[in-house]
Amino acid sequence: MDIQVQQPIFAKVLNYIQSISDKKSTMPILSYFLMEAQENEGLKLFATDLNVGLIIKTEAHVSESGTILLPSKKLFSIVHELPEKIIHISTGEKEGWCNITCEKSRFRLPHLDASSFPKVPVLPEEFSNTLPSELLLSILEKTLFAAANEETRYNLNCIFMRKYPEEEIMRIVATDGHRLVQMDLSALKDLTLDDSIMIPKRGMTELKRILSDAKVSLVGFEVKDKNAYFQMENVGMVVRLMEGDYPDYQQVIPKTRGRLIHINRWDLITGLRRVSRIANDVDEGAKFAFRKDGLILKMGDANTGIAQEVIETSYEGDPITFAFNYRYCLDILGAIEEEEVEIELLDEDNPGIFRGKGNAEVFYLIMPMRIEEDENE
Amino acid sequence: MTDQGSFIPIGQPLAFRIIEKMISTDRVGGSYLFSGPPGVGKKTAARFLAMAVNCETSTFPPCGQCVACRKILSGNHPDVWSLSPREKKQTIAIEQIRELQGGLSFPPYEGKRRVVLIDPAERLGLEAANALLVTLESPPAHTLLILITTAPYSLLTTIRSRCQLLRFTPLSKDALLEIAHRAGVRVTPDDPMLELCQGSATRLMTLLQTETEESRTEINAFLSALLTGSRSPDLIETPKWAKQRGTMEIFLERALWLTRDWIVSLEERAGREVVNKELIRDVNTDRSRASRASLLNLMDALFQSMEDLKRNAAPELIFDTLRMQMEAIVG
Repeated sequence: MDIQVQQPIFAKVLNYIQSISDKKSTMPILSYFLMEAQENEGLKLFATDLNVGLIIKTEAHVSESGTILLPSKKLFSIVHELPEKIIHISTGEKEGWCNITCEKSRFRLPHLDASSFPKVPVLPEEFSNTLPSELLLSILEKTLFAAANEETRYNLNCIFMRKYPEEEIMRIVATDGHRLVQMDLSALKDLTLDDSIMIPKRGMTELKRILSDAKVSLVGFEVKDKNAYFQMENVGMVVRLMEGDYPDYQQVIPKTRGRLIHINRWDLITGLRRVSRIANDVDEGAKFAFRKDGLILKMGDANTGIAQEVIETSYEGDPITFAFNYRYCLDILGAIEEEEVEIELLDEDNPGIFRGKGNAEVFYLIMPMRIEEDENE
Repeated sequence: MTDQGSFIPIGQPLAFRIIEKMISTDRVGGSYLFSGPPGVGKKTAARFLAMAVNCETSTFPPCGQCVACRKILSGNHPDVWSLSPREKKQTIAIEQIRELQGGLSFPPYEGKRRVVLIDPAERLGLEAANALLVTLESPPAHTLLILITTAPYSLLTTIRSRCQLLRFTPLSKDALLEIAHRAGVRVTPDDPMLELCQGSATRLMTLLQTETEESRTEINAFLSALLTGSRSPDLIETPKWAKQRGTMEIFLERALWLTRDWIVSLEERAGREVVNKELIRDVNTDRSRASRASLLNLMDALFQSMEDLKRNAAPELIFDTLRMQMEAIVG
């Protein structure tokens, strides 16, 4: 192999690559990436952690074709430090070693035989769906935070998608068992999707990272052979879909409608932020006490200190108090775009439902926390 | 490069036949327990089975040449996983099992069947073992779990009962010779190491390793001098081999066998094989030097030293203590 590539371009693609390459040492070869150079075609880079694969095509002057495996992290950190000039990469001088030179810098790195690397997936020639990247990014921003991270319930570590042709919507759900997001998007009703799918969170997090970084307007999307494929210009991503069943999330959604309360989103965010300063624990509950004269947000206890803030609301009924995890509330309020928030509440034992006022496509649900006896009540 | 066919297990005819039958009738179960003493080919057999279910040519024995076989042999197959205690950890943690279960919720990456080797299975922590039960009972489709153990009875009964058992036995002399030959290690059929390794190929290789050869000669000289009483080895410095864990282990094992041989030769019972014939012949000239009781005491001391060594005592210290004991008994 003998190639020349521009440092800024190479550093950028390697940044994507190194983030996919597996950090864990279960299969050391996954900390490498595959680099294929073809005369007249440029470079193709492939990295995978077995569940998420990234295939990037990039410009390079190729004088001699070849395919090798190089250590992702190490090469990225080297290239990152090099000047913005042409990098020359070649093999052959010494068996198993690869020379990297740029201006006055010279590096020699060991490379591995490409045949031992996992198979490079074949991206579809034509994508049957094209999505505006802004839409995709906004979906990810509104859903990803609610998907589970924990290892115990791995079937929640994903985004669930299912098409409802009769309702002309695509439903997207994410939950970790404590909170849930459900989006019914008519904008995606024409997406070709035969069955419901579970796309792992890790892949979607990487997709979100690339989408927010790369300036692309359209994303190709295809679901085929238990894989989801995404194409963002020269960057292709393959995410393996999870097998198994998504839990019956509808169980937690109350069947009866509760009363609706309207609050200014920003007031609620700033109020919650202030009272949460008193919290000792990230999972502490914030009390939402609805009174005729407004919503009283309360946190803390008699021993460690108490914080309180009153926020104007449209509430008219009897006094009632709920408790929600304040971080979950802030996550949700951050995802809502509308100025006014609509909170739907049934009773202390049922989850609270948050919406942007007038937005019927998305709702967020938080399971209530148990309210301990409060001497101040 | 390995020779063609060198991945085929040697000296476990029963296990081999069972695997062959499984493949030929296409009845490979979901969970297996490979049980037997250390170094007799359990892992080799497990890898062989992984190749057999994934080989692209679908032949038996697997070809060893296709991409799938080669990836398995080099330890790089994306669908052949190995689960062992994490670095510096004694047991396989429950997080590792959770991670495994998370991984199993995906279909195999490129292979026909995903194979998970849990080795050594007796190192599964209690929580981990219990968490594994669900997976063992009904492994996901396209999944084959192989638990490898030298101590089947230290596994939970609930684990054992969920696996099909494949027993591995100590290797015969012929099998050991073949394995040594395949590994390119020269050994003659009358090499005492073949007896000393107790049917374990791994042990044989350690014993035969060239880097320990020098220490081996020294160890033998030391022991023979000590046993024959010709000259108590007066050492000013601790010998090099007594400073290293590996060689010290060999020393203790050799000493144990010799003591055992000595006791056997004292008994003068026919039919009992003396392993270290040469050394014992020398001892025989003056057998009455040590009583049976004192030799048994020595054996106890040796067992204790082995135990101490396992528990990280300094090899030098063990050697010094032991030497005094040995001299008191046989000197």
